[in-house]
Amino acid sequence: MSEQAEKGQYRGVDDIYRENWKWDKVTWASHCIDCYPGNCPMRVYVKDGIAWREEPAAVFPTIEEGVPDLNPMGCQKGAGWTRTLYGKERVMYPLKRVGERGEGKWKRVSWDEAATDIADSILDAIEEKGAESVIAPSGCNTHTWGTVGRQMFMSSIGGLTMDVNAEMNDFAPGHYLTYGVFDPVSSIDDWFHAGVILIWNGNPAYTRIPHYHFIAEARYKGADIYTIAPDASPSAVHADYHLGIKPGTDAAFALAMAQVVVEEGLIEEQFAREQTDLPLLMNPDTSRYLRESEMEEGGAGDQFYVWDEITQKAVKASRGTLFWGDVEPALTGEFTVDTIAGPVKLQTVLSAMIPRLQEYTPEAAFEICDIHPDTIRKLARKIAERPTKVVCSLSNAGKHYHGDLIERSMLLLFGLTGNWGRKGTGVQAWTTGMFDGWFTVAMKQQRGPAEVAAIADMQDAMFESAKQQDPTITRPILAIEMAKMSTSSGMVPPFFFWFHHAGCEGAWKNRDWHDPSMKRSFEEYFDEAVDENWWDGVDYPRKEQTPRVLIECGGNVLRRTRGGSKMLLKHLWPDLNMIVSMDIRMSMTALYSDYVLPIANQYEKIGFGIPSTHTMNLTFCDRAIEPPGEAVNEWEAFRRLSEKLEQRAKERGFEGYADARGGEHQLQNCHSNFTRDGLFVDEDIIADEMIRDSAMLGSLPANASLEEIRRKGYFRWEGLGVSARALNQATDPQPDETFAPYRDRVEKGEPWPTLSRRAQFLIEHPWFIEADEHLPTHKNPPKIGGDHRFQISSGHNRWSIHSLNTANQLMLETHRGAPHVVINDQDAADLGVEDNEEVRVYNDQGEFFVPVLISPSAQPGQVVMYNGFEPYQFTDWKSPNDAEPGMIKWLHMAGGYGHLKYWGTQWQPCPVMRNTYASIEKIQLSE
Amino acid sequence: MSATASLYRLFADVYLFPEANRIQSFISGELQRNFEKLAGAAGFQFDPSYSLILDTTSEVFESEFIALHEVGMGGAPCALHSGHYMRDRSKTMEEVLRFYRFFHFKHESTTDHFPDHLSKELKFMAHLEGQFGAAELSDGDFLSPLLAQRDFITRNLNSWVGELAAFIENRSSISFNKETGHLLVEFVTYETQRLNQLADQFTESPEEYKA
Repeated sequence: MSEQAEKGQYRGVDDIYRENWKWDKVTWASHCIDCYPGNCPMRVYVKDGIAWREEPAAVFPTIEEGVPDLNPMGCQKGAGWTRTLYGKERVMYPLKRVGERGEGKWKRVSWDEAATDIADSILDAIEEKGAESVIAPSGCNTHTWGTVGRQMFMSSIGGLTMDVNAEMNDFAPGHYLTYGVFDPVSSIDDWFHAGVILIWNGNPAYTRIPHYHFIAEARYKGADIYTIAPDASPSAVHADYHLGIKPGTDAAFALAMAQVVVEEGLIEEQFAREQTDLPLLMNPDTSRYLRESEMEEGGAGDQFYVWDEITQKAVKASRGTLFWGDVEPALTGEFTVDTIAGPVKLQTVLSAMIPRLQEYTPEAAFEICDIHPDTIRKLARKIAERPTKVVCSLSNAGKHYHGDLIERSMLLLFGLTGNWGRKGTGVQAWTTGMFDGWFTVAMKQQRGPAEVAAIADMQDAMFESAKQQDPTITRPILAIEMAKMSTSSGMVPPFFFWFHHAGCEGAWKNRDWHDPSMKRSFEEYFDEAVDENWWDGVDYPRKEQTPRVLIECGGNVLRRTRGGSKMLLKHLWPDLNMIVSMDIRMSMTALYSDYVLPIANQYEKIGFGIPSTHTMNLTFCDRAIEPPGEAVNEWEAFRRLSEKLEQRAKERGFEGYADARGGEHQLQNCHSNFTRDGLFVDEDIIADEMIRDSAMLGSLPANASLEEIRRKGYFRWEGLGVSARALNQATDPQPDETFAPYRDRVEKGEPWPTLSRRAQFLIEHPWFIEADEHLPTHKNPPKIGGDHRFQISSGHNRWSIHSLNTANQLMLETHRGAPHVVINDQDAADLGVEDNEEVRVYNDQGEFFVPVLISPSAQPGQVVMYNGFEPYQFTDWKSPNDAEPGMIKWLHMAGGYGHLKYWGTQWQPCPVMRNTYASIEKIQLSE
Repeated sequence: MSATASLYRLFADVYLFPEANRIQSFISGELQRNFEKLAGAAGFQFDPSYSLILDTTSEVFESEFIALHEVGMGGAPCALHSGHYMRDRSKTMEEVLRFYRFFHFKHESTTDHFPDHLSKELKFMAHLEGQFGAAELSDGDFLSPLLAQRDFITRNLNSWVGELAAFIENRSSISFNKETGHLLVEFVTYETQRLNQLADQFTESPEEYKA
């Protein structure tokens, strides 16, 4: 019939499809959330105010001749983002709770009403308990506006923001102990240079979908791919070798390889001498370095020594360079040195390490980690012999209780074999930096470059001044020292909050769930850390500072927190008078909030990808469409709260006050400060300032602007900028080379930000010595959760970004569509459970109910529980977190020693969940 | 406006976010009276035991409206957007939007009214009914809106409002919501049959129909 239709007539549904749709616009997009490193450039197609679809843009050029380019970048989550954009889970209007928390009863309110109520609660909290009673979990989906908007808001009131790295447990303590920073990050294309790729504590086939091709391409080039994991993970399928290691024994495996390297004389000696503390002299009786203060009156406590084989004397190890000049330090040996106290018998750190390594011969290690000695030897030789290697550790070793030991052992192996600071080498974590305008925009009083120029000048002046006092200091080290002194921002390591107020105290005090080498009770160590002022300035909130207001932005604290939602609802929630969720959707935390404020999603606001050296690009997401309903970006949400706070402070005569850390606050002008009297309100203007400031500080091209990135879609980093994390990548980005961190250390001899100014394997802190962890070693994982048969391992799933996308129907249909655990087929037979049958997983901490996926890919005794699912997706809303106590290792509360001091995202205790013990039982159905 | 078009609009109003005056019309019985009047005029026979009088407070009603239709764990349990009941919401929205564009139906892409919102779709049916009536009077192309009504209700509304009503039946504690849901299904079913018969009648024997 439709064939008979004349123009304008309708005779059948195909007539409506005859119009050739033209897009109203096609914009740049990315997904500026924590699918780290993200930064996938996409194109979004818009018509009639609706974003209909997106597709990878594939616009990156070849960077280095002979190395594959980054194209295409994207994954199923990004390509299906419009499903989330128009998903059922969107929140579009401010909602006020009208039933009990969690009951799901809401009332639509205006932003004004919500902001008024929230502002009054904040003022009440400050009056009652002080500014530290206003808490913001950090959340990691805060790009671009949440991070800076929240920071400005929380700083203005003196509230506390929890450190994101502890919240998401992505800290790498062993990297930090060794390097003084946790976050070396090479560019993804640098993986191609590797000769051996170790997929170790990672599963890039799931979690690095856009980047996995570099591993495959390196393999085509001749690299050997090893997956070291207890389960035959999806990444193992694509590897040349799968080493099915016993859970939690990775340190023994690494130390065994180090033993082979030493035993067979495969050490790259010059590298080890320059880069590491292995040649430094130490006293075997005290496990401490030889210090200048022992050699001469008034000598320094941080000046250490090596034994010069040429002069046969102890000589000072330079703190300003890693290069030795005319000195030839002994790597091994025992030497007698005349000190003030008389002759002392000393040895090098490596000499102290060697007997320890002898405990991990391949044969001995086999008994621990289940990797055959021949395999250990073969791989150790490859690592030593091949010029380039990459480890895809992806931060996950730190999720083990003894993750620090695993990481230190891996780094020892790498330090012995010359595997960092060169292309295709090194370990990986996560980092941000370079996009300095993100933060300078919060510091400026005016638009334009003048104040940024002043910041740069001030930094120059400070560096010159610091050099007067310490000629050996470098800009990267100074940047860290400045960051350590900056406690006024209100960002704190959250373990005090969790211990005092969130209910973690009970589990953490359980000695049976800690390592037996913890000699005293947990609380004794906790008290000592506080009493010694090791966490001075950030040891908040204290016990008496009961949290009263919690503002969640970009996170989902009831989903994420180890110990589980039940623990928080029991211990923390009753104390809170006001809980606010700023979110795009009704998350578990939003459900239990008093107010839910609707936030614009990707494509509905300007955004920038997480600035990282992983991708080496700042990727742009434009405002393709308007936000639905009354959603706004996070900056605007905090601006509205700030505006109301100022108004209510005036109306209530709320005078200026000091927070407990000494910061002065005056809320009667907090909104004018927030916007700089209206100069910083418009999204486009602020974004443009961020870009231009970053260009001025050297990380973006000189002509960078919002207009330019709207045209091009991304900028490649031209420099590291000025932030501590970025500067300590210690490599100048090159336009035509892959990026490998720490090249400045290797090629220029720039010192490390550690006490010894070298990659440090000896940690002399008395707690570490007491625990026999002053040098890398292996320890079996403690029985976290109790004495149970199974060990829970975990990991990011393929189908979501944390809990984002978990309700996306498209994603759900790509797998079982619901949470599940993978268990071994023999275990399933023992338990008498069928595939997809729901079981009870329980331990001494808690329980959850979940269907099983039976697969021989899991080791007997292993339970693989991918994370990211919302608690409400489980029976009784009990999730794996309810059975994961989130233990922290007591040693990570240590301070007062060298580089062991908190600064943002760095040294701090973080909850662990790997190797949590649990039992599984079949659910007996009642008749 | 014809009684049928008004009836569509009346249903459309029920599924808009409940502003105070609208809730009042539910409580006062105004909706019930209007419905009975229009249904009679439109020839829509329905069970007289249906009660469209809201017997709860506006606060409770609004709260339940939000819990049913706007937010919930993993999404609103009784979403009001047709695309949520189809395999691919984008495809649903595209088709709906193409219908709107073809028939010059003004779509506002604001508030909760994405093009596939129930109230929007019901208003579009009213819009087509109006075009049909106007064309009949002016001896214009009434076949276009008629066939479009038939296709739109068959492909869209009739394919999902039953599911919506069933969800509401299971989730709602307010009889008004259940009753309006069921009545909507009856009305859409009735209209689907009516429009199919009418379209068949015309397309098989147009002269007779016109006479």
